[in-house]
Amino acid sequence: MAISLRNLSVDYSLQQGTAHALRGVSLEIQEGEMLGLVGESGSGKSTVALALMGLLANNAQVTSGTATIEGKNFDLTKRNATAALRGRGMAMIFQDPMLSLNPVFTIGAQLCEVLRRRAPGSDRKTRVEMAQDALAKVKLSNPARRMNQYPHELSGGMRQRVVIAMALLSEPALLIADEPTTALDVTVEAQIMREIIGLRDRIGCAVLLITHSLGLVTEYCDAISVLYAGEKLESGTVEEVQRQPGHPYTRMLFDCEVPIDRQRHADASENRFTVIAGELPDPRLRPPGCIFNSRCDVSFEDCTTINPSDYPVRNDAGHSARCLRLRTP
Amino acid sequence: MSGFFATLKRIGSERDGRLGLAFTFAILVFALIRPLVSPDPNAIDIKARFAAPGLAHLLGTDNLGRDLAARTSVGTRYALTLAVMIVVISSIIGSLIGIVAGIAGGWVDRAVTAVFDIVNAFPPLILAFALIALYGKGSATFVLLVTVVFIPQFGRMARARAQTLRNLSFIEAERMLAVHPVTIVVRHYLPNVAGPIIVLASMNLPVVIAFEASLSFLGFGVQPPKSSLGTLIKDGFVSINQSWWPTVAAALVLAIATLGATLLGEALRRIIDPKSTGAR
Amino acid sequence: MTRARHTAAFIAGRLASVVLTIAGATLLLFLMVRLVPGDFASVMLGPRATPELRAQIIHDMGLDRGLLEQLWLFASRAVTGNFGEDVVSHRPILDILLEVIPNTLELAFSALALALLIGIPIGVIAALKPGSWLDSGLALLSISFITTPTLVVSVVLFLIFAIGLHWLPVAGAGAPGDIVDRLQHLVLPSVALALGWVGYISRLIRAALLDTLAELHVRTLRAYGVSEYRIVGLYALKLALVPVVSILGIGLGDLIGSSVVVEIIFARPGIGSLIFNSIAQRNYPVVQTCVVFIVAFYIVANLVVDMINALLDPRIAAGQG
Repeated sequence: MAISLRNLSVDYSLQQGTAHALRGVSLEIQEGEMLGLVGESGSGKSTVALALMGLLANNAQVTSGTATIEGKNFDLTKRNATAALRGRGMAMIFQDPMLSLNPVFTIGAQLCEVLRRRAPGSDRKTRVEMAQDALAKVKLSNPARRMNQYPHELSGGMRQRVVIAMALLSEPALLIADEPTTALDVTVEAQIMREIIGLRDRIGCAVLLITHSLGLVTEYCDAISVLYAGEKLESGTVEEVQRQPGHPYTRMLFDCEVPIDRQRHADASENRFTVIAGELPDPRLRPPGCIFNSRCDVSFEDCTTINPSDYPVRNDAGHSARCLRLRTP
Repeated sequence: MSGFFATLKRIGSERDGRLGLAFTFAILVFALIRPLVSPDPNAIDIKARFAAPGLAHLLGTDNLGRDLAARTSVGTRYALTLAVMIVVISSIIGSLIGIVAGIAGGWVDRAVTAVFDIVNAFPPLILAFALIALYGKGSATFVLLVTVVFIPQFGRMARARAQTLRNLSFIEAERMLAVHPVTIVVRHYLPNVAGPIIVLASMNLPVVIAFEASLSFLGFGVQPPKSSLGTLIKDGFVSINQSWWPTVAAALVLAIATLGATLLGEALRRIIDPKSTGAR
Repeated sequence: MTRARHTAAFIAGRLASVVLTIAGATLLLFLMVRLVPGDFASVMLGPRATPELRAQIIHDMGLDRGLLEQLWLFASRAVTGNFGEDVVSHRPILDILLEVIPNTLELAFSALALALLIGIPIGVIAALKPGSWLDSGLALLSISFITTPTLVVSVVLFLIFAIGLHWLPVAGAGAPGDIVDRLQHLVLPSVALALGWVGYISRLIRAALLDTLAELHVRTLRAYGVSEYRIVGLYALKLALVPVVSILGIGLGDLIGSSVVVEIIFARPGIGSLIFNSIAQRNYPVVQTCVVFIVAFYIVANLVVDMINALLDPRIAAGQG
């Protein structure tokens, strides 16, 4: 059953005024697939995740948006609309594993806490067994001992495995992974991504991978959505979008990526990064026309006045982008 | 001076600060205005023993018929004077010791820290008892002894500040240029240590006020014929079965003084040192 | 294994510093005696002074020896429970001390328990709705509790219940062995002693809880559907207790110190009133023993507090706290 998110808009009230962090963002993720949501920092990627989970900060307000998860509809403008799904229908893996576990409770206690909700009525012994089993499934060495250890006794990668085990125990329909490898060593990135893929395959859930790294998306995801300044500019299968980006922003993002054949941590002078000139537009005052207009290298007159709608790219099913150049005359 | 008024204005811009200013102002007025309106605090009038509050005696009279408004006012003034003296002296001595220890480092620092730790191992009132038991009573001795109890707090704070300052590049540069150490201390250390010390001093003022009252209540502080809030509470307490009013009047003034000083100190801390949570 | 070794090293280090601090404090007391202007023994004995009594005092207190030798003498006697003799009643000081100490400990610990039992809920309630009228009302209440001197609270409680209502006994510690009577005698003094710490603890808990609730691990629990009550009351509270427990050591010292005032007002026998009376009688050996005892208790209490904290927060024992 597909997961869908329609027309999500979120405002933050700040001292300097109201920032429109997300404007009309829609996503669709097929069961058993991984969707990569890409964007620069400040584009609103994490806000999407927090809005879905109902974990937005107090100064945030969902002004529009509905979600369909496990065949049920949720009105996200209501606070705690998806509260019933937390830890059951939805689970989340966070960016910083050093901070996302409680430092004064053992790994085992925190895993068992998830089971209190997922498997109500189970006795302590069953829960401990299930938790230990989950740790083994995410390939954490020596799971029996880990159960009694505290987060500070584990490395960052190990802690992230613990959080993945939490997600595994909650058997969600939708797993949201918010920059799950950003805070970790590059060397463990692949392992963690493999565990996330493993989790997806084990329980057949949909995965929303939030990342700023196109490399991760092209390597692991089935579909991609590109977010820019709170608006979705392009979406499609990874294959199609990579072959022919429909939006200039997506093209520029791909140009920025360091080619896979070149070493990532090689001397900076050897790499010639392409940089997209300009800055994100002010989130309080959206200029008319295309949101990317000010930084676009192929914009023309209409781009300053007409806000493009979603146009299909090359008649590929499910591949669309919001660029006036795709308009069929 | 404009800085003083600006600070007052900022203190007055929040609820707790306003309350603190109001209470403190009320106490100061009460302590200072006595000579203008009230009768002689020591005039005995046996016929008017334990008089209830009224027009003749605003706060009634005590067991000797002395006017309590006048006595409490004088006692408040004396209690505040002692407390301010203790806080000022201990903050100055503590800062100097702390700065020297922080700059000197090495064994001097270790020795000073050890002494501070040992003094801090005594609960303050208990240390004061031990000192007073040995060195006797009397106001000057009292101020000196209580000062000793409070020096380590200021010393620790000043030492910590001095240590962080010592490693700053501009001070290191002056040291290398052979600027006289006293000049460096006056020019850089004192101004930088002053902020947190002033905050600590203002936070400690109500503590010292209560401290003095407790000691004077027990008879270890202010001695007759002088009176402070603590001795007034004691005098009232002795004849509490005849009249509860004298005790309550002095206790109330003491409570308002400490509350006002605390609110004021906390407001000052939020202005000077906004990062600290000030849980204690 | 490494964890056990860390913990052992942690405890050993703390024990060493405890012994050193107690020795240092005792040494300081001895030094203070020697700094008394004039002849200490004559000053202390006052009109009682006879040459024999003087010589005996000087010998008993070790004033005729070097400072370290005096400390050693004191320590080696203390280990066997010999703290010397009371100059006035000629009873062993230890006996006098043991008679009154249970009363003071009863008072201090019941005050501490009260402060925790009332202070923690107030802090939790305030932290649940930060910025609300309830929160700011409780904040004002807490600060009033903190700033009102124990002296004032005791006097007011005494007035209300002794002169006013006659609900509770106001003098003494109650008949030995009669638990109900003793508890009734304990109520007012421990409330008087606890009130300030109710305020401290509620403020600490509130601040620490708010800090903790803003941390990311709380978001993880929320994301997995853990109820807000369990998050606040279990997961965040355990972390928020760490700063509270660390201050309880200081709290116990403060409570013992303030118990003097309370014990005098409520005419309770205890170490506070013992010190008070001994100073009045110039009975310095008793004062000195009481002070050493209180300091030792205070330091050991701080050690226990650190141990409890190491249990609460495993990072402390691992040296990462």
